[in-house]
Amino acid sequence: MNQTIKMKGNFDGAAKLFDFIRSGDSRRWGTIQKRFFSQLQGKILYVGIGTGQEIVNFPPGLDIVAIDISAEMLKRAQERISNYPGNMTSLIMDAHNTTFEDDTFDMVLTVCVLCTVEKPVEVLEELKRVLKPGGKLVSFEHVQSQNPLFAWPLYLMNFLSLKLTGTSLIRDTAKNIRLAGFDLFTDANVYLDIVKMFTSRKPEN
Amino acid sequence: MNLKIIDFLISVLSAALIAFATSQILVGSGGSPLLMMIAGGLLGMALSIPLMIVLVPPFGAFEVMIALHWIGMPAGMIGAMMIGYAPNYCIAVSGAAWGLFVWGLIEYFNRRYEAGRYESEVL
Repeated sequence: MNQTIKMKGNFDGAAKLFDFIRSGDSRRWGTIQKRFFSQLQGKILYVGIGTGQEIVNFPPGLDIVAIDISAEMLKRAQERISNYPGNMTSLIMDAHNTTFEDDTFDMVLTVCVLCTVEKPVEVLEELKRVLKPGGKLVSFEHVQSQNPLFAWPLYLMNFLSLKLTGTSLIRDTAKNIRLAGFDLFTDANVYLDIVKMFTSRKPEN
Repeated sequence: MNLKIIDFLISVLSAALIAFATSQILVGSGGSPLLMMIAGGLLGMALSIPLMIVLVPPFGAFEVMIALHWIGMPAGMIGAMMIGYAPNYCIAVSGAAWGLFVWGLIEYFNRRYEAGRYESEVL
């Protein structure tokens, strides 16, 4: 079965319980996300909106286009989208192959997406294409820990995580961002070198 | 409740529960100390899985999973090895002591990474 279709099925299936499963993470990361997202400005592409749990942490008044591969997730995000005090629209779209023109967005935001997409470097290259030169990629992601004490449990759980949700726990996202041709200039810890915040820039030329 | 206190309670109480439950399940099963230790370790790992399923949604995925990964097997081994040598409360307290150690270890490393957060913000 095509991996993207399988993933779409996984997320359609998980949509009902998604808010419940992620409620602990939302509570823990809310404050730090608010601070991190305060840099968002201009026309923004929000990749992998899910049920829109992070919308409450966005500064008001932004112009956002949100995409997700799962129709079920987007359906559940609608109330949060309509409550957002700014301009937000949503589209069903695969991040590997978006329909946007080159150099469309000032900023791209990903939250726990680069761990889930089938080909992260391809997705990042696509996001680079739609970003304006000098535009920023803002990513809040979980990654492979460089500390063996915490990397080891992630390796053990990775098989189960990939099987059940298609989410990898051992991706080197900083490396992937660089491989896609971004200039990575922020790599900050949120929790145990596992949950991290990255800010990168598309080179001017 | 403060999430730092919850992390502490999750580690200490989960370890105490796993050690105690393992000892109760394996009590009277006999076998050599080595076999009991292995059985306890496996049982401890198995018991940590339902705990993860229950605790991850309200308290956060990585905060719970990493702690329980380091708690499951050793707490189970502690519970199994103490059968017949110590009363139940001692088994639970010994498990809790391991949970306290794991909590301290995680807290130590997280503070180290936290301290580096702002230094690493501009690469």
